[in-house]
Amino acid sequence: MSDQDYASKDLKRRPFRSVVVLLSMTTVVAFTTFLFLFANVLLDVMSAVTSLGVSSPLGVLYDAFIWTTLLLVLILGAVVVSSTVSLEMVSRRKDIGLMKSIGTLMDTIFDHFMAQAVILLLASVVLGIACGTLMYLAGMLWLAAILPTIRFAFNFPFLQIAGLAFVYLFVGYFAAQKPIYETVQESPIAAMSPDIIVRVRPMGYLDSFGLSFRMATKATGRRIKGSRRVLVSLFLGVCLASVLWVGGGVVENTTDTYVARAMGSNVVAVGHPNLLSEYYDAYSLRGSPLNSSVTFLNSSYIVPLVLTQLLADAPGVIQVEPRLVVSTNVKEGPAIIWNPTLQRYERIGNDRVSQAIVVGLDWSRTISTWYYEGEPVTKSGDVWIGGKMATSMYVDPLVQTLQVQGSSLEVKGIAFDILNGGMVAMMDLSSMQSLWNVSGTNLVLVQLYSYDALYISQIEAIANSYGMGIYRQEDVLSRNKQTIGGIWLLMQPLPVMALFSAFLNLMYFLLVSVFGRFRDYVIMRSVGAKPSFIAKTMIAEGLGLGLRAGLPAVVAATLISVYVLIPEAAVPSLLYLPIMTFLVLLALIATVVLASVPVYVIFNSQSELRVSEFSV
Amino acid sequence: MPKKTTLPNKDTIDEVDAEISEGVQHAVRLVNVSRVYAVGDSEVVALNDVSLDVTPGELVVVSGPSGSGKTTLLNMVGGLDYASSGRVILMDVPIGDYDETFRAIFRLTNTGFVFQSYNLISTLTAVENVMFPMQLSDRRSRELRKDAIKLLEDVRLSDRINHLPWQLSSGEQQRVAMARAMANDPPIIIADEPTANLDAESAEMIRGLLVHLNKIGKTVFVVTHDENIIGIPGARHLRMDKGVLSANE
Repeated sequence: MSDQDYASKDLKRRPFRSVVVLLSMTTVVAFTTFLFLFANVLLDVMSAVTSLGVSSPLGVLYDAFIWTTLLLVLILGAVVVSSTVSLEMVSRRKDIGLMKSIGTLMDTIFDHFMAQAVILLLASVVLGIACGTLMYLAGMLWLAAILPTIRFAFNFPFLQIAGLAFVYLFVGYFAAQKPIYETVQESPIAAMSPDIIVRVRPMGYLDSFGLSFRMATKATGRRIKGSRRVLVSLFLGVCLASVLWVGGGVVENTTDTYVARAMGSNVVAVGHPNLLSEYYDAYSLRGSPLNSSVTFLNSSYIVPLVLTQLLADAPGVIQVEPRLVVSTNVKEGPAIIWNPTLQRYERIGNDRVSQAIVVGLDWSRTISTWYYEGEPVTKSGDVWIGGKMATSMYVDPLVQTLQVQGSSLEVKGIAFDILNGGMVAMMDLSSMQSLWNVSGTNLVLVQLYSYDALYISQIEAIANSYGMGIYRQEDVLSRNKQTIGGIWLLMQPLPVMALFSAFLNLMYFLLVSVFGRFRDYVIMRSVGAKPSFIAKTMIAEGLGLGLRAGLPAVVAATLISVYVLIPEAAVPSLLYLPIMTFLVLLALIATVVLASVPVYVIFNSQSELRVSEFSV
Repeated sequence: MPKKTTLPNKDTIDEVDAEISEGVQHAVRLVNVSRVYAVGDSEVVALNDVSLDVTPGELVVVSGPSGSGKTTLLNMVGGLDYASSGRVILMDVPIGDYDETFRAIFRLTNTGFVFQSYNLISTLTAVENVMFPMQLSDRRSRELRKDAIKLLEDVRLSDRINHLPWQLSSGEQQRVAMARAMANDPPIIIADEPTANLDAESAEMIRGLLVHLNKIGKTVFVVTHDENIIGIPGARHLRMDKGVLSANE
């Protein structure tokens, strides 16, 4: 009989265990495959959404978030597959010891158990990837239904699927090898001895919840082999769900904050109605980039100085900021840098030309507090450029210059601003006025203590008296926040799937754990433990493991969300992190309890209380 | 699974104890009990119309060939299995009429089991195994551990209290099982081949413990092939064959 024949017979004769392992790996492979493929699509959708001109600066933020998710999904899938295969092989130690004791050659034992591992692995990876792909196709149909306006090319992800299959098979194969190899090297006596340690660390506060918890602590605490990988996979599962929920919220809020910081809050804009209309259309995530034929330099667009002074004295006004806004051609300025490898100077830049908005402002009194990379503007010849301009027009923007009106401005930083889709540059107001030979400004931002209708109507009256109009910037800001919220909503299925994946993972671990100690549970019942006690012990076992993995996972996810995922992360409120952490932990506890239910039901349907003939 | 009648729920020890009247007539009473197992398409009659009365404080020994239904009988006597037909009455309580929660509590306080394969909980030390039924019975005494150690001293295992089952010899494991069976001071002790896997010295110790328990008033119900147990003076010897129970002649 070949190894394969023997292995498949062995698996068939342990149907319950084989089915549990097969289901466990299949579902985890299916869910991680779906998450991986679907997150990839979301990345495409994000690109599609955020490449629509004005919303392009958001792409950078969501890209980082989705890439982190993709990476976590891939690691989660790999760890779960490896831990399940490894656990299964660890559970065969006694059989390996037995085979050794009757004189079976080490190579034969190794081949036999590896054949079993490979059969399980191949079957579950093929089934899992097939199910995951079907779920992905269903997800695509759902996306098409909820986003009918988004069109992007659908290419069946053969490469990603092949890559995933390779990763799962690779890690599963090597994860199986280790415990088999180690046990084969052990003496038969050692291999056949139960792998239980004497000392066990108490579970602390959990132990005070009663005997069920103390029993669970001893049960899980005294079984070391294989449980660490399960802890790692649970950690990753919970970490993934937490990053998606906590981190996703932070990303959304930070994006909101960045937009609000760039636009300013409680602001009413005063200027020529045509300019205001064009300008705020270019500031809306649902709007369109600026019409290139509009320059805003017509003399009728200039706001009289006296109006600016009147606005500053109006009730409820904190601050008034005059700006000069121009739609113009800008050109990428080159940089000459020393290349130490080639030992020569090199010219960087392709002299690209594009249409952009240039905003002149007084840096010392601006109401905007942009998020930026680089340095602050300190000289009149310095400029900040928007994200889209930096990526579409520059090779290395922070060493290059921006050429406008025949003048070369040093790019000091890249600012996050959604104005004109990030095709924007901010420079010193007086320098800009001299470059365009204009003496006034064409836009006045009036920041109010509160967005009070009375204050606004007074400002409108003052503006109207000088032939100018107002624009309620707060309306655009709130519409932009809604759009960002919509993008975030699009990603909500991901954390739910991640938590479901953690649920399945935990459930199958509990199944493996409970049925690994089936005999212990039956003994407990036979000496008088009530069914409710058995159920509580199973929940306690899951809870102990879930919290041991989940608490650090939530903390890690929170730290990743705040410090890694997005620069200068903004949390919605002081209570956001504690509340989200609490909610994730509640979800984790619910997951543990739900995962214990099928385990208990299966246990009850399998166990027959007999005095001495327990099926183990 | 045989049909069962479920009486109103009783899920505390006090409620279960209240069902046991003063002056128990029968520790064990089986009335025309049959147990039929389905094996594939066929049926195996493990117990065939068995009737038995055991008075409190009696020592009953059951012997018989393998597959004769001894263990099934023990499952019935211990309230572990449901009869296909007939009535199982323990301590004058019709145990078969109650749900699993009631039966679990009943087992906890009224029966102590000693299994052929010891059946210690693998992840608990010797003293923890003995303490386990005590803890289940919600005894609030802070002396649980002390009581458990005392029981282990009684079976001469005071130097093994913190050992896990796999670190104990067969005889030691069986003595821990004896200590655990006595943990809640139950009126009925049930033993399934308690000396089958033991050396002569350990077997003799277990036999002595069974005699001692019977002497202090426990009803002891043993299934065994061990002639030394069968020959205990005063023991009532029954034979089981093909699911039928009869007095040994």
